[in-house]
Amino acid sequence: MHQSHASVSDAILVEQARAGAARAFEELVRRHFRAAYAAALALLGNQMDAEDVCHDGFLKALERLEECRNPDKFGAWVVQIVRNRARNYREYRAVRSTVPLESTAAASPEDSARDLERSELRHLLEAALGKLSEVQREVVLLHDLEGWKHREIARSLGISEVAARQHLFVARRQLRESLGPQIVKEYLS
Amino acid sequence: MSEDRIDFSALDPTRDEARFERLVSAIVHDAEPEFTRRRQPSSAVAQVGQWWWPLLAAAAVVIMVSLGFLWRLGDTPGASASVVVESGIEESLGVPTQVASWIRSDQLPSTSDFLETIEVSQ
Repeated sequence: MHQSHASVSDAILVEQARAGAARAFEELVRRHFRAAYAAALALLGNQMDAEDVCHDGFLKALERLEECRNPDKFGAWVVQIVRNRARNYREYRAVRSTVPLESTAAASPEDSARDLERSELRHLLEAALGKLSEVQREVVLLHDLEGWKHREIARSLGISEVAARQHLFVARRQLRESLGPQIVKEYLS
Repeated sequence: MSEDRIDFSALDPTRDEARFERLVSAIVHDAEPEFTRRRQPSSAVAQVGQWWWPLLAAAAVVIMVSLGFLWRLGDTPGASASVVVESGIEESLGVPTQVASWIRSDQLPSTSDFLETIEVSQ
């Protein structure tokens, strides 16, 4: 269904979405959800909140699509929107003292052993990421989860490329220390 | 060792395909009112609203050119007088009312009237 848009540039998809083409916007969501999720997860620390904020962020981006001055950079633009909404949500959450929601993956009775293992691994990763600074989390997730280049990360976060490289180096080292060599060797390398 | 990429696939929201499809579907579903709004033909006011930046820029250019033209007129007494007579916008260009009436009537003022008007205007 969405493969017909696979070779279309972001700029054209944005133009079509501005005209009300749902398929074009859906393709934009598919392309950039993971980067937006990485930014939200770095700020919020758990899957459910990150997904909710991404959901709202993409809807807000659609409403404000005319403000996207460089449609070829839609990805960076929507990540910034999601990042801002994640910060607002974090402040709101801190005020309301909301208990983080449990992952639905672990709650399902039909979970296979592999799913449970993955769920446990996810919790371990989230806990280890929680020990990093905000910028370290975002750098390592955008780089290692989404595959952004240092230049893209630096531009998105408003830091130098050298700083991005340093944050990545430190973040990886701390994650390996937090998780332990066995988990890293078995699951994460 | 720290140079090696860490495998974060356990956190990858696209890894669980069914879950990811639900996430995408939910976003597209909730965006439907916005798609509907965008598909409707926009009103004339909305279309003008979309062009307000270019219109503003064009208006700024016209104002700048007009101001430059008026400024040059002010530096050229002869040209200024002829245009003033033709256009009748003497007051808006800062010409004293009494002088403007002399220009319109083609009557030469007396020396005392002229000096008095100049003194008042200064």
